[in-house]
Amino acid sequence: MNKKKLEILLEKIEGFNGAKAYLEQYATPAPVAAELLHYANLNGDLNGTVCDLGCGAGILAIGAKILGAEEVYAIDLDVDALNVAKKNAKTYKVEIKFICAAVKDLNLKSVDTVLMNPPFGSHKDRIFLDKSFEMANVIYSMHNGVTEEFIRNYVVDRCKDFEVKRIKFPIKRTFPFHKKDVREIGVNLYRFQV
Amino acid sequence: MRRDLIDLLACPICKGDLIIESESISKEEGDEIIEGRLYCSRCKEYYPIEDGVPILLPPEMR
Repeated sequence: MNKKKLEILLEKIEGFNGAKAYLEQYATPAPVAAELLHYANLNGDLNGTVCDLGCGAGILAIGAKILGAEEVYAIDLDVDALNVAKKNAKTYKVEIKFICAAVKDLNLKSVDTVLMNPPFGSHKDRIFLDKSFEMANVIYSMHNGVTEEFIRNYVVDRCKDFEVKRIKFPIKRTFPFHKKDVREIGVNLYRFQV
Repeated sequence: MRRDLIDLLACPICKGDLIIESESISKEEGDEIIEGRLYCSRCKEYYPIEDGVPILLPPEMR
């Protein structure tokens, strides 16, 4: 499936009302999800077991399953998010294994590939990086563009190799403190090889 | 959750193995447990399975 087709397909994922600011629940927009999934698929990283860490409405997990991943696990701390993700999986008729857990306490035995859009603030993405490096060989993740140097320094001793793609991430008005309807931020899409 | 998912899960407190508490299962569909409990014998802690999803949160986070 080409990227545009995937993007159109993923547009129908239902987001959820009542996003929680303290959990930084920013939905992954369909074009961004399609970009990440297409990139992973081209590298042959979506064939085995895949885990979506902090799955929210489940867009990465569902996309991975659509692209042929053998088993997909989707993990989130928030039961409300998982309920929306479950509903979405049903709509797309894909089987996803959902687990409610805090990423830092997660002790899932190894998977082939982790896909994630972790929270960006106050270096919470470090918890997600640490955990994903523990459990997978290949990780696809996105991080705020302004933290590129930090991420580089953070991963340099932890992984064999990494690639970065710089993309635009449109953030729709989600929380009361947002002033604009849509704001675009620079986001880096990484592939880490552990 | 499907029964074989248990092999992949661990207690969030001690990282030890969890077991499915058979007598707690109140709803099943095929090999999918919809309502029941998981148990960590080391921590003596229970983790619910709600609407098919294992909730592996330490008690203070539920």
